[in-house]
Amino acid sequence: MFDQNQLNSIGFRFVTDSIELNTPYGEELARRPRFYGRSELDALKSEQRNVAALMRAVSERLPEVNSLMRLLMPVKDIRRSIASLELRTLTEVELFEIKRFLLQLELIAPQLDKLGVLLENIRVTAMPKALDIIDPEGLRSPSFYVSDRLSPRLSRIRRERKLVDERMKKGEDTAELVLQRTRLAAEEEDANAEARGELCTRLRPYMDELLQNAASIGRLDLALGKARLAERFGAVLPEVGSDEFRIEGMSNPRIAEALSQKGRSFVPVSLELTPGSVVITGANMGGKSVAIKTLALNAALAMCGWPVFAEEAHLPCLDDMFILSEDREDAMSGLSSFGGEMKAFDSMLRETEKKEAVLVLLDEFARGTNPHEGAALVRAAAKLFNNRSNSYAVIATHFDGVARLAKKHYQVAGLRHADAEALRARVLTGSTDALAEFMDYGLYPVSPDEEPPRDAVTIIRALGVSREFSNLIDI
Amino acid sequence: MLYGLLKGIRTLSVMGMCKNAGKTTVLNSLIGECGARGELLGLTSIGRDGERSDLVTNTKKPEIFVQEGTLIATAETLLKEGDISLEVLDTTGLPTPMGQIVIVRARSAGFVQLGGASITEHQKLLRDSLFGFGAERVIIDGALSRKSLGAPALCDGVILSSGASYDPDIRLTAEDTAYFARLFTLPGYNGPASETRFTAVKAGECSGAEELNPLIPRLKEGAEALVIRGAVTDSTAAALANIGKLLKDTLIVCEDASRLLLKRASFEKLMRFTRGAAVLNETRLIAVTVNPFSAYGTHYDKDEFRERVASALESAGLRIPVLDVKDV
Repeated sequence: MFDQNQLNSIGFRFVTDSIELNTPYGEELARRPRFYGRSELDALKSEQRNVAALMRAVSERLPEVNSLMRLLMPVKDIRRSIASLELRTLTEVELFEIKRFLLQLELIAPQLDKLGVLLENIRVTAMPKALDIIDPEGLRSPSFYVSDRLSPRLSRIRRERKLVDERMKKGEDTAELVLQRTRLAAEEEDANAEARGELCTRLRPYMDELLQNAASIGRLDLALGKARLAERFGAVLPEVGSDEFRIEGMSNPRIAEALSQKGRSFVPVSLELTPGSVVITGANMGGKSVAIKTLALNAALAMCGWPVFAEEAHLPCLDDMFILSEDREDAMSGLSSFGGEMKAFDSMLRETEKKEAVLVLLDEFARGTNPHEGAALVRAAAKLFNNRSNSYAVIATHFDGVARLAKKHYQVAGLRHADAEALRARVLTGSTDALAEFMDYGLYPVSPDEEPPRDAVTIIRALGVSREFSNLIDI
Repeated sequence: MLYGLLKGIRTLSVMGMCKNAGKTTVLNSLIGECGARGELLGLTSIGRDGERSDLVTNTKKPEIFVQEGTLIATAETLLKEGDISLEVLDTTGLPTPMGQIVIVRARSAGFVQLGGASITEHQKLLRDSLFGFGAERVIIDGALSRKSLGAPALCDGVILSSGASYDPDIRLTAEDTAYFARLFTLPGYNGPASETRFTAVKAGECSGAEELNPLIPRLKEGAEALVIRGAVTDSTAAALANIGKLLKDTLIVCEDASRLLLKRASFEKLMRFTRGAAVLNETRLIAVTVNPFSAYGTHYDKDEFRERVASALESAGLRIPVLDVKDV
């Protein structure tokens, strides 16, 4: 699976940070996304069904969903207190937090029932018996006080103490009275601890149920967050475990946001993969890397049980996924960039060998060496993955002669269809974004014989790079 | 005695200039007076750096004594230092070295140990939370140190507690007391200001910058005010002194008295080459209390101390009641 750097770079973190969650349990689940492997396909499907059900609820019964979310907001993390409960008597503050949690369950459980959404592995249950232990008067007030009812001794000491307090308040302050107050305060502390000890003994049998409720609330919060995210971005649930690997109209919210700040919009990408190598060629600056990152993001989201940013998505159940790009973590670690890339490639080959289905993404593989050998390396990689029926490899390159080895060839159109005269005219007006205006970022299936476009020189001119230099280019 | 001075003050901070300045006596007296009138009080304190080690070395039991019903915002682990019977009302999640801050109600009279938030925003949340739970007045146990002048931004009244433990030299203590009193009585500034670190105000128009240098041309034209956001330290004062000639008609404005972290000498120098100082958030100093008894043995004469402080205040042009802690 991708490392933290890669998750950042492909925009996965951007997505998981965009989700709105209401509980610490849900936040924790989103912070550490679970990659469902092949053996967990059932669990992934079950998560998807939950998200789908909640997506329907979000679109059809928003007021009820909003009420439910408001009830989730005050939920605090009580797992530490529950862990302590196993070992010792809880303090008043810890008991307060458990009581608050129990009170919240009383509200969340019926609201979830009212929503009438069938959810798997999410069961929030009210725990009135546990609440009766912690709140024997049945007042259900949102505060916690060790009740007199829990201990006749505590109750008696408190009554005595009150009498002393009243005498003192009236101005009596004999040494004897002060001493009596101190003694009663100490006795109360002792009786209070005893009462809490008893309370905790009676609460212990409910520990598992409390934890299950906490876990369910976390899963509910996360699934609801995903459903709302899907609603907000128009994301869909992918078909995982499909015979085909086809994603239509993909986008990448992180890149889309960066583009929209420049007044541009993201051009959706569609890809269909087969086992073996698929090659993407195209102009410099034309969006090959964007296509790779967008595929990486959506495949990772799909395998983690998240909605994907696409019109539709079908993919096989993947055991693992790898990406080799300029953003590699070892890029700074002392190995030359070429050396680092080859080492990473080697360990990836070893790791993927025995897997059943892997996605391998190579972005400008072997860019660090001379074009002649570089092209040969990329061709070798394409052949290698063609021989591995477990690998869906996508290779983005601008080297010649690779595409004809590919099972499928996509090309970023780039400036191919641009009107050269019009582009030159626009560049002359000094428009800095002329290039973006004429660049076709669309990704199109093309014949394997189609060579990468030759538009480096056009791009250099469009960028307004030094005339002294560009006039000397001799092709 | 102090109660009569509380008129119109909803949030009061008691600031001690040093340990054993008699702040606790003042707090207890206020709590007693408000309690006797059936007033529901909220209490909290300003978090201090190194509070934990203080508690370890200070073997004394907590000395703040509250009445039944009092609302208290304090650090979770300090609850066991007190002996009230307590009802937990809320857990705030606001962190301190002594655990999160919790809000409790005293269900009996008794002693409490206060440990509050050290960030102004958190202190405001706690104050508002205490009011939210029904407090009619909030009293904040504050402290002065070189790093902080407590939290004038969140209270509308201040009591300053001075004492012989501040310094063996009675004259120095009296003069420094008057100095802090001056800071807490700086006039309010009602003119415009930008959100930048520095704002030069000329004829009601603001020029803002994060540094002083870009504003020099503006200051040369003669600005009526220079608003400084954030701390004003000795080095800020030195930087201002460098362009002192430009500032002779300029009022130096800081956010509130807590931002003035200056030695008295630096402050006095600043006052000489500028038109004076003012604050965006004004506070009211309602009294100065003095404790002639020193924890270190160098006691002052009770009357002499009170008179010296009173006359130092008078020389500074301040008319503030000065009370001996024994008389509050």
